[in-house]
Amino acid sequence: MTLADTNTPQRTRTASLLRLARKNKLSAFGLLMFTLIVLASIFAPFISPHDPLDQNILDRLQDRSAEYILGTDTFGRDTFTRILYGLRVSLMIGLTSTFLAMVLGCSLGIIAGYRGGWVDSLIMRVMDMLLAFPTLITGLFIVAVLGANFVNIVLAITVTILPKFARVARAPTIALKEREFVEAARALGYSDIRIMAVHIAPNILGEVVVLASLWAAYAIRIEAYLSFIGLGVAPPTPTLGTMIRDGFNHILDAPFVSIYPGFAVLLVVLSLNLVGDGLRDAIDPKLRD
Amino acid sequence: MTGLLIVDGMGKTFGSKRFLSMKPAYSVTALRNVSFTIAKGETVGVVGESGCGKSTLARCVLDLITPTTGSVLFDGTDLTALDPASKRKMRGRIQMIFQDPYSSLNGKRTIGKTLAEPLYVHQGVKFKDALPRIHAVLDEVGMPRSAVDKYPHEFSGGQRQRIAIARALILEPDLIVADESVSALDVSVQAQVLLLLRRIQQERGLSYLFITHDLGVVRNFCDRVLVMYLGSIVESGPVGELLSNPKHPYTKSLRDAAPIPDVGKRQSLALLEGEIPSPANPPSGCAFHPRCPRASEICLREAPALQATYDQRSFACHNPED
Repeated sequence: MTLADTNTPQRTRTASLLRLARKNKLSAFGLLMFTLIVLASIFAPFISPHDPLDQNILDRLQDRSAEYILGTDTFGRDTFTRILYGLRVSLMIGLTSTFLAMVLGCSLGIIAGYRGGWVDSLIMRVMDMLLAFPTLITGLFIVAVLGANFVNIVLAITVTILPKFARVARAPTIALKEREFVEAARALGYSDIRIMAVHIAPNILGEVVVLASLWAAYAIRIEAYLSFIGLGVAPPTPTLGTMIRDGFNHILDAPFVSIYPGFAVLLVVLSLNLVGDGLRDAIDPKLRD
Repeated sequence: MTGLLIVDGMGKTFGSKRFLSMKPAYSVTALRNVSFTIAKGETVGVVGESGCGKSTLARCVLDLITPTTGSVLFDGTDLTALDPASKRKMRGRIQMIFQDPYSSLNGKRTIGKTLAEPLYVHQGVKFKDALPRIHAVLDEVGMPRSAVDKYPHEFSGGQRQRIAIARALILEPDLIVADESVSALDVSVQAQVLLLLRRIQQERGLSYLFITHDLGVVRNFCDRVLVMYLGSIVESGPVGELLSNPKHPYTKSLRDAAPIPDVGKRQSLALLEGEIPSPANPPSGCAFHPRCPRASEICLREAPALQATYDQRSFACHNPED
């Protein structure tokens, strides 16, 4: 066991990532952009001199200036600061719900695919039922019934995108369970849970991660929708959706109040989509348009 | 002689019993009343065409597929009657080596992890404590110890098959079922793997159920052989005896179809015509009669029973060869 031997898989993985970045500049740019956005939201207090909740009514609805980089809103709060803090909430909601949906959806999909029979029918028909409603309607329904707070919004978004993960996980599971290494695992007396978690899940992770990056963008958009129609996190906590909504009352006299947070949504969604597209191309060249 | 493995009257019917399905139910009988025994240290070969139920037989013996009828007695325990937990425990004692070494190893796991996993699951041995045993088994199959940290894609087919053998050996099984385990390998690699399997057998005294379509391999590797046709055993017996003096016309044509590497000895062959019939719609009487050169009227009506003759041999034919 030499050092070179231990490093081999790691090194090839890094190398292929670099090769990928060189081949697909757009995705690399998306990844860079997303990283910067995440860093900016994490280090918001160090970047912005203002407080996101600090009202300064005399400076309300101001356009860009040296003091307020992206202007101020109805209550004279600094838009740039609020975007940074709003990104925190939006990213938290978007990424948490995507992660939960990925874990739960994949588990259900793998169980359905591996078990087959009535288990498969039961799980997938429930997923079909969820898919039958338009995403926004399902989300609306859950938030309207349970009330609008962070946990319920995450729950709503999780439920709306969970069936998509279940479907994506189920198909390759059905293919994988016929492979001989799964039979070998059964022959070795491994439990079904172990086979699903240790032998099937890692083999479908690649495809799932690609879609996770695309649906994370989608989740952030749903959060913005819900906030925009007033079912978001309660004010004064800034999220991108509520900021757009707040500015909407002044869309004619001060359009910038809505436009800048809208632009922030655009950047996040765009960067995630670019990353997702690149990952998809890398994993399956056949899918390339 | 008591057998290590006694298979009695095993049958397997695949069928559909779909709930609320518009399609009519169908059924395919892949195995029909298969009985045989394997003694400790013995190698039993199973030969037959594609689709004759060899692989189903292998999977039924391990209970990867649950047989519809019959019993599998392994070392005195009926595997088909065990509850799932005890069945999983027994699994360590019967192992399988698969046909395709490219799909029988999990590509996302290092060889070390693949080999340590059975020890962890069955004996609770942690990876670090398992390392000496992993090294020992890698030595035994002739692989370098550095393989522990590598992934399957870094190895060739023959090397992977050695790793698959190592995985089957690590729990020290009594019986190994090899399903076409050398068919996917180059002839030179085939020979190496067969020699390896034989050496392991001599060292550990284990038994093999060796499934293949290659009579040459059977001739050199097996003690006894079962000839299967459309889910049934049509003839069985010691390899040398059976191949030099086949009783069943199917065995004879199988033997004659195997190429002889000597131009002088080649003769005009009565090769079989047609294909193996669909097990979903088997012929009446003897399943072999549509292709049999010796078929007579009784073959159309009545399926012949397997009858034992002298010297451990048995065959199922109304008009056996002399």
